[in-house]
Amino acid sequence: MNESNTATGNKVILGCQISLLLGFYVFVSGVFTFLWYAVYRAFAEHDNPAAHAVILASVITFAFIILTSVVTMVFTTIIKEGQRKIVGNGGPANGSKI
Amino acid sequence: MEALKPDRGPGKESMITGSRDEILYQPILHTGRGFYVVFALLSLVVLIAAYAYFTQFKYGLGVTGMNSPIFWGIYITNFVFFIGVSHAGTLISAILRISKAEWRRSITRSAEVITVLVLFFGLGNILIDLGRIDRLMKVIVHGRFQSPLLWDVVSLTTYLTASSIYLYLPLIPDIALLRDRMPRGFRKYLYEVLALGWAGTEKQIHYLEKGIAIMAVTVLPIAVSVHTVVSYVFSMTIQPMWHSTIFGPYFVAGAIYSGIAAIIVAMAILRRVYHLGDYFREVHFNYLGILLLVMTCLWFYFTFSEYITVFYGAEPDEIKVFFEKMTGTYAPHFWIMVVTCFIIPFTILANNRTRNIRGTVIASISVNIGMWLERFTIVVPTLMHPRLPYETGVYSPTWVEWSILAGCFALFTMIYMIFTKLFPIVSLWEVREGREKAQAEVTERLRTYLPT
Repeated sequence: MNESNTATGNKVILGCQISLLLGFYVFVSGVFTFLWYAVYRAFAEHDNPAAHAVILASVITFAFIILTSVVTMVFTTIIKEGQRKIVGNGGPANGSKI
Repeated sequence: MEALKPDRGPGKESMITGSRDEILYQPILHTGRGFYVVFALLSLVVLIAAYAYFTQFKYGLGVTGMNSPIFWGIYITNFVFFIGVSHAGTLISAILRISKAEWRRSITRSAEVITVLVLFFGLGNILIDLGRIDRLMKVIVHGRFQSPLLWDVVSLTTYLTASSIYLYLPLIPDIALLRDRMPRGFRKYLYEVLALGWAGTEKQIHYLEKGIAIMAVTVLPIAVSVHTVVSYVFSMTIQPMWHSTIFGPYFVAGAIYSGIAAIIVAMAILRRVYHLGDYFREVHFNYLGILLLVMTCLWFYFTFSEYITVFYGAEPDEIKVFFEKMTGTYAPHFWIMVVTCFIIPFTILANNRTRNIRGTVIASISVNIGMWLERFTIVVPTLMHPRLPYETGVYSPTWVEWSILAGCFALFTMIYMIFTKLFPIVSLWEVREGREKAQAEVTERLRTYLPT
């Protein structure tokens, strides 16, 4: 009974951790949408100065790609290793793959 | 590497309960009456500020002292000031981390927290200045990229994201320590989620250190660009004494200056309240005091260059603003700024005997007051004498603005206090790692070239 509870608890925790990562991706997607929508408007609707929009969108996109890569690298490695450790310790494993 | 391993198992339990770093857990495990008293007093200030804000929301920006042509006042001053202070953590911490300054270990966390928190207050003041907060959506939907205001929105979003990541990554091993220590309950659950399953394996350590190193390098150009872009909000206009090529570096230097001062004040308070004298030592205050002294001289150099150029050029619109600051309505603000930003800190910090803990703290408080006034004297006098032939005006902030200003500082302090109740304010694993490294270095030195 206890083991089953711990296994469920681990699954919930893993779910929350993955949700954190997904939440970050949603945020970054929102930033990209905002930036590239401005670029689209600059070209398609002539509503925004194109050079400003393209330069800013490119620079910020590059910065966010670096940030997203770091977050992905650290999160996935630590979570995966943590799950492996749980299995290695003979504890309940939820078998989730990230 | 042992420093990064969590305290799992009975053998490691003593590392928390009986170790010399136990004092770092005391604020998290125990809350004294003083905490609640201070918290209640600050809550009162925040409530008054909330009432002031709702008054402004109900009756409009007319309840503030802002008028035509002075359409920016305390809120924009706060915005520039808070963004400046935000350079405390990320920039200072990143520079010290990259340069492998060993003395940084106990001070980085307290500085990084300042960064993330004050950024919210910087952005919050912009929202307050908007008057109607629902207009924020118009910035997102109809924002035009030729406006430096939108550059600010974008660069601040990037900076806030980068700073939050840079605060969180080094927290992971410490959160794991708390996870293993806490009894069942909500906080343990919170730590279990945030620790991401940290077990201190070689692979986890390798990737975490790699992540922190990349972030330390990435955050530097972002931080510099943010305050440069903040300065562009002013310098891209052709308003007198704003349209200056020096504004970018001038703002960045001022930001680092007020940032260092903010760290020193925060360290002194933490040292006193949580008895962290072993972690925030005289040597930390001395080193930061020297950095502050360097920035004092740099600030004076930039300010002198800025004002002497305007005075010598004597361009009619600019000279009106110049004399408004020197001898006019805003002369008290300007001269208090000179005293608090240069004379007081320079006098204290240039002298070895006065550059002690008390001295650096007094100098830092003085610098923070002075830097707020500097932002004020940049924003308001120029708007009083705009280049276009508007009528001139005088700006006197009302109780609404003063209350919101007080509320900002009170709320910042409250959130900072809550942070210290949830996470160690000194990076435990970095301190441990520092000890291990120092011991290994001494052993190696003894082994290689000293007679045993």
